[in-house]
Amino acid sequence: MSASPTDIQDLVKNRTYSAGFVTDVDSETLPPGLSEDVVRHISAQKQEPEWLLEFRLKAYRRWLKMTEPTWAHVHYPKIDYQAISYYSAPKSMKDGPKSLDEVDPKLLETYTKLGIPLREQEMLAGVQPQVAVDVVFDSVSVGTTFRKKLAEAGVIFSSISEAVREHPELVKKYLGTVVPFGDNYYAALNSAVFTDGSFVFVPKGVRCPMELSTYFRINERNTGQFERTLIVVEDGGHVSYLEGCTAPQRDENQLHAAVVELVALEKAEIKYSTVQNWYPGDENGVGGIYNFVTKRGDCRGRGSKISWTQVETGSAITWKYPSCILRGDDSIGEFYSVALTHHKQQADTGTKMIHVGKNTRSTIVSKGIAAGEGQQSYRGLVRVLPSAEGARNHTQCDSLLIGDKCGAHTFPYTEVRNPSAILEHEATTSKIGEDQLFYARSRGIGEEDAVSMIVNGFCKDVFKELPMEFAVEAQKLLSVSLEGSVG
Amino acid sequence: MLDIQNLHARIDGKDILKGIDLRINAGEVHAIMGPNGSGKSTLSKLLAGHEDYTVTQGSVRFGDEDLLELDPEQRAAKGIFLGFQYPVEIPGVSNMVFLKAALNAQRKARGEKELEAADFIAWVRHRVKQMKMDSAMLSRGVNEGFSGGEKKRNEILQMLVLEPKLMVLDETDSGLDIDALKIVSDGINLMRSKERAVLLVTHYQRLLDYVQPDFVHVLAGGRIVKSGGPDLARELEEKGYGWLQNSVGQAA
Amino acid sequence: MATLEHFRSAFDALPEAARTPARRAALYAFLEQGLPPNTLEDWQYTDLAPLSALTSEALRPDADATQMGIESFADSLDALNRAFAAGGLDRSIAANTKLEEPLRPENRAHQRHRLKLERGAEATLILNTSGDMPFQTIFADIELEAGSRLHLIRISDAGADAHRLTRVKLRVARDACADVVTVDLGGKLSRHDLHVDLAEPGASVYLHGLYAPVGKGHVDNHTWIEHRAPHCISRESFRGIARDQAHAVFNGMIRVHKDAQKTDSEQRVANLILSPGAEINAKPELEIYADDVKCAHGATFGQLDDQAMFYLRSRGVPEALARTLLTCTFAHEVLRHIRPDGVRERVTKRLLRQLPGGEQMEALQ
Repeated sequence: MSASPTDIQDLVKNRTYSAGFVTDVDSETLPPGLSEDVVRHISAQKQEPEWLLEFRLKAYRRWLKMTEPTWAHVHYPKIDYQAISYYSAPKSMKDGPKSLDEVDPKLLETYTKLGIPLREQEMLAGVQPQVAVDVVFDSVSVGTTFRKKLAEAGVIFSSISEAVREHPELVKKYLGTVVPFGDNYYAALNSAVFTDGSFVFVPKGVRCPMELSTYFRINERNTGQFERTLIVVEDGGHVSYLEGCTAPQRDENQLHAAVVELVALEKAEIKYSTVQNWYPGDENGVGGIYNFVTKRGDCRGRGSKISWTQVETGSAITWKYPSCILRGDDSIGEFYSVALTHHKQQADTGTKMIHVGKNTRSTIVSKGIAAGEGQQSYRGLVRVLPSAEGARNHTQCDSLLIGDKCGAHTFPYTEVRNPSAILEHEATTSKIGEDQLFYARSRGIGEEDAVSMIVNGFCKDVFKELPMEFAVEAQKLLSVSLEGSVG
Repeated sequence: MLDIQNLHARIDGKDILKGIDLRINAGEVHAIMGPNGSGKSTLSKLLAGHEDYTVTQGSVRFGDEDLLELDPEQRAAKGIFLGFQYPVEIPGVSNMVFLKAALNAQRKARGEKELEAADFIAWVRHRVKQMKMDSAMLSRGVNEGFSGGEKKRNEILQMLVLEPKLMVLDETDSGLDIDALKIVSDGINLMRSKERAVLLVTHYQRLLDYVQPDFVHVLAGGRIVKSGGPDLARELEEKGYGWLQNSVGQAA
Repeated sequence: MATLEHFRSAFDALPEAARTPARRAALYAFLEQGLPPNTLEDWQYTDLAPLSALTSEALRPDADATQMGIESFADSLDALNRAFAAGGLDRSIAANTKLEEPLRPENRAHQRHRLKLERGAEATLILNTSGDMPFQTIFADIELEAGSRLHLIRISDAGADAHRLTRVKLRVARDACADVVTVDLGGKLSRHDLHVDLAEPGASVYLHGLYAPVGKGHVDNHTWIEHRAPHCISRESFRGIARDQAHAVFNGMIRVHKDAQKTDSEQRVANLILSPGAEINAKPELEIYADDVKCAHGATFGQLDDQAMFYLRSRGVPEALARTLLTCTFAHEVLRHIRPDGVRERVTKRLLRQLPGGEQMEALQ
């Protein structure tokens, strides 16, 4: 016999959010509120050059005139932007980044607890696949590993604040060229108050010798995190970059509004993977991160390639559309996504592929899973401009519903202005089959394992795009996030 | 008429034909037999100009022309006809319109006068009768809702109307009952003449009982591994293709 | 904001008997709300500003003095139609009867129809906005009672300066079936809304649409299919062909409401762009709030069947003509669902005339 949905719902308990602890560090946090003074204060804290302050102020003034977008399929109470603190840094970090030896042990311990042991990482070097890590704690970068080794290859990997000090010409040349300061409401806000994030520069012809990764952590109460990441890969270069995010379990909602800009020059390749596990709120929808993110890649050079892979299991609200502007002829954009909403989580996520150059190709694979009372929307745009002779797009967009109180929605926009373009969009929605479950169980597989197996099968086209270590983590994350959802 | 030399071809990076040599003279009927996946269909589609196949080596001459240089419609106008293994449905375009478009385009390409409407209709109806078909089919969409057998019969009808020089018939006998097989064979025999040639691609001896071939070739692993007279087909029917594996081994 | 004063003056020029308080109230509602702005998601790709550039003579509100009894308006366009239309079809088809002849409302500039098919009734309705009339609006409310069947054909073969607004609302009750075909050829600016409520179990809708604007024409089809009850079926297939500088928009929403379990829904939209200046925006949307459903949708651009292309060429048909033939096949997929033979043949012929190479095709017929 097959279990009824309610039986199955009851089978497992609430999901556990293992990253929900708080690190007790003494932080210097700006009082809540946003004004030109706050913008100036952030810039001064970071000893920024005048042009960057100007950039921030322009963005801030633009933001004041903008209104929050309402078109996304998400519902949340109005955000009071004056109730948020826009800068928080552990006091021990006051004098800027230091070597790892000098970093507050409590901070290092935080990352160990999250499974990112910064020290061992360096010590184990050479034993396992090397991953260089930059860690951002609230508003500042705590440290970056493997910098020497990367520098030998000519790769710059540092916090963006540091890059502004050490490579101002590079930052100035590329910052805001992919996501202009007034691009959208959240991008404008970010441009005004961004605090830290990563900077990667891969020079001409260099294949980055290891995976790069940044780990973002929100710790302090009532703060927002506004990170800014910029990755530039010159002609023929290659980099694979991973990003992970967590936050403590708190009753109030916290805002995360990041901007990520990628620039790929001729034949350059950027692979950007995200495992996003911000605190999603509890089963009653209390607490959780509002994740409003602008991520965009510019395939500026001929034959360049940008590939986004994301596994989105966290956040109360997700508003995120990693995009590719396929400007260079023969350039390639890819978007692979698994997004899961459980309890009262809401996600409106997808991508934009803008075909400008000739023979540009894009692939979109989106897998949405809605459980509990989760609302899951795919929103994607494929735009083919008249110049994009021979453009190709393939989109596959599948939703899986687990339980009868959730929702799965698909909003694919296609705008085509070239007769030679070939586009295919396919979408399906199905529920996790009771017959599949029953079949697995009759072969002796436990209910939860069966669900996890089916869901993993559903997501396999995306997981195979993740770097190996991340794929395993993503699978685990997914089964934890699904606990208590079967129906 | 047709001269294939050392033909190599691939699709999606996979080599299918690995050196075919075949010469067909006017007036001859050749049969190509062979197990599934031996490259039979590839050869027929390639002769008609399918763009999915890439010729990597060798040549195909038709009369005094390099066939590989020509588009499918140019080949048709030169007199090559492919009877499809799986004829395509074209809903909304009637058989009559389709035949008229094809015949007139071919005539035009050859510098001949297009047929007057009345002459054309009379000609098509004559052929329909020979194929023992209902002329009501002419106003139906091309192969739209046809059974497998009807589609194959329609292929032969098109052949009769277009009067090609070289008829390449890919598994035309598959999916036919005995009555339909007889009608289809009669159609093919009707077209046999000193000026024309036929290349039958088939899996079975059955069709060859009705359309007597002059030569039989066995295709395996992308090569012709054995050639002979009509007796070879009967031998294959009795023994299957298994006994050929040895000679394939030798050939390689 | 564009001025809409000429709508007022056109109305004021009506004979006094036609300017009923109800129509006047509707006019004021329209003037107050104005034309829907592009900032609304549903109007993202269609700008109605050209309506404000029409002369007041072109608007042609209906001079009849009939009373209609509709007092509230869904939006400003609803109000506009209410103000300018004096009426239209207002009929009930008796239970278990079958109308042999299609219903064809009188060709007025502005029409407002109400149609009810009682239990088990069967009818065909043809809404035609063809012709050169500069501005035409047709709004219709249609109710299908249990087990009834409606074949609805909406055709717009309009002139190069024609503006068209239509809105059809269908409520489909238990086991009733709506079989809808829409065709848009030509026109300067057209917006067609179709709302289908599958209100009770077993209701079904089959919807086929072809949009083929030419010149500088702009045509926008919006459909909403609401699955409100379990066990309903919807099939939607739209095809678009755009040439010259034409712009086509398709937006199809399928919404499966909370209790609509066992919904079976499929939506397809396929598009061909024939000229470098043409544009098509297509958005097939799904909103699903029930879990035991079978829903699929798909959108494609620019794909003629490769197999068929090779087949045609292997028979000697040159590539350009083969393309035309396959474009016909592409459209035929929609047109074949028009049941009255005469109507289908006329529309097919008309379409042929506006395809590149269509003359050649016509010569072959």
